Amino acid sequence: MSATAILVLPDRYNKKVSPFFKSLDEYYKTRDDFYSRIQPEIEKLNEKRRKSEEAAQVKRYR
Amino acid sequence: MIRDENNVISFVEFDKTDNWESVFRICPGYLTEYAKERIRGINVKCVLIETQYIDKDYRNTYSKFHSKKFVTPKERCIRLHLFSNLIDFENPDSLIWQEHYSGYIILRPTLPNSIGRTLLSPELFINEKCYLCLCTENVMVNGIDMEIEGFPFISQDTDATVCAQSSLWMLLRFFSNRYRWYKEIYPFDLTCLVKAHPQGRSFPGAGLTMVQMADALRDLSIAPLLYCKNQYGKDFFKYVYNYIESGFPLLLGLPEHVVVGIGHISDLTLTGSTSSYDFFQGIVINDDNGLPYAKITANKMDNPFNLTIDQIDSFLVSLPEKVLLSAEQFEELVQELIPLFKKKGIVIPGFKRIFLTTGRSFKKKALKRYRDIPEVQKFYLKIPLPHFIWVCELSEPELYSKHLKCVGEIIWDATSNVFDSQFGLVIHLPEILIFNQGAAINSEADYCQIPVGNIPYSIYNNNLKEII
Repeated sequence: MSATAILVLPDRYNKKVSPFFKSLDEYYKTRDDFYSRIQPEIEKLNEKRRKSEEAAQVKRYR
Repeated sequence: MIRDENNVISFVEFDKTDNWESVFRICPGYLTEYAKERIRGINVKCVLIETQYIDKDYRNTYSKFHSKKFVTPKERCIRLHLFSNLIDFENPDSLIWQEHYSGYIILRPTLPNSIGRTLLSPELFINEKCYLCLCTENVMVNGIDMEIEGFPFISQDTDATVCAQSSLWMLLRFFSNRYRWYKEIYPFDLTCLVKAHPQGRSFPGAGLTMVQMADALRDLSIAPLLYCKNQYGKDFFKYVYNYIESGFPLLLGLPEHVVVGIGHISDLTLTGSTSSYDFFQGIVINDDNGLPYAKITANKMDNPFNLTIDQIDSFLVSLPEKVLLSAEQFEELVQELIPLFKKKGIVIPGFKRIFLTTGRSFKKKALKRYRDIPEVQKFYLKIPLPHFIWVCELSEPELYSKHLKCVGEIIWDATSNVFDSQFGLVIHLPEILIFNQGAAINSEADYCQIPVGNIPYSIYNNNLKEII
């Protein structure tokens, strides 16, 4: 991770800024772990959304 | 006292002899006994009556629908301007009139439901603390330009519009009043939008399904999301709360009826909370069968039609097209961040408040909110933010409920797909601020950290207005 090229912050911040992940390996491992944990949960949520839309096809409001 | 009773504009001061009955006498034939009963409960001191008012919304349905009948209703309306205190009708003073102005009710000649476009101050109806989505309108009364803040209301005419169109109209008028990029939509035009997605005849209104309402909204470049209680279980009302807290009014589905959820009632004295949702007690609704600002809670006595909150079985939220990430997806992402940070020895505070807002509004408030933590203030003022952001404010239960303060926030790009923005844009915790520098410059993810102060600051407050 390149925490040295702080393009969005004023120069005075550069001294304080450090990378959050120690290495690219750590970043990739954490990201993949994060994705593998959220993917099944997001799929469950998407299924709830699909079923909600199906159920809402028939009921009329007047 | 009544002034200019037989004139085009007349005025009723409420005293020992004159009250709402005098107003009703000046508007003969416009109101049923049922409607009068509802209006009698509104506590005002005087009413200015315009008896020849041309209402843009009624004229729209009159021209395109009512005028085609053999016997047509009148084409003019009556507009009632309500004042919470006595004003001098003969010598108008714009400052005093504005101070006491409580809004207007338009009466249409469409019995039995004759309450047309209405914008009233919530203070006329609300008697406990609540948080509302509000918009403002400029109103010209007797040559005086006044402003009124409230949530638009209209009743169905049962011919061209039923509760579904009325609720859609209220929602859309709120958006067009509050945000200039939404077009003003009139009732008949709304019915025509729905005609593009037919299920049965359009007139007389036979009712709409939530899917038809969602399709009509899509045609207006709005991206609606539908939630059914039987799918989301106990989380259903959490999402109702999150979206209202984000300033989005909701279409709430009840058995055979739909109403607009325009605010929430929260009791901050409750204990044992882990999120601001735990304080949630009920919803403020606009129900076209009644008057604006009704309540719906667990207690049926709180609602004029004995509706209870558990009867709500679905809701539809009208998100801007750019918002791709939903409330439940954002909540899931935040939830999964906790173990990730724990591995690195970082603890995320336990109390959460989730809402959607614009990057622009967040920055605007940052100047004041972070004034005691200048490094955070400067960071937020400098860093590019997306048009829409999901925010999870982090706090402690007492710090939030007693002082309305927080200690950090997690910010996610709401315009991103659920897998796009990795660990979010900003994770601001006590003593450390982690941010995705790559996202800020539209490049590869690049998470950096900077040490920051640990000083509680006020919660973000822009989406809703606190009443009482």
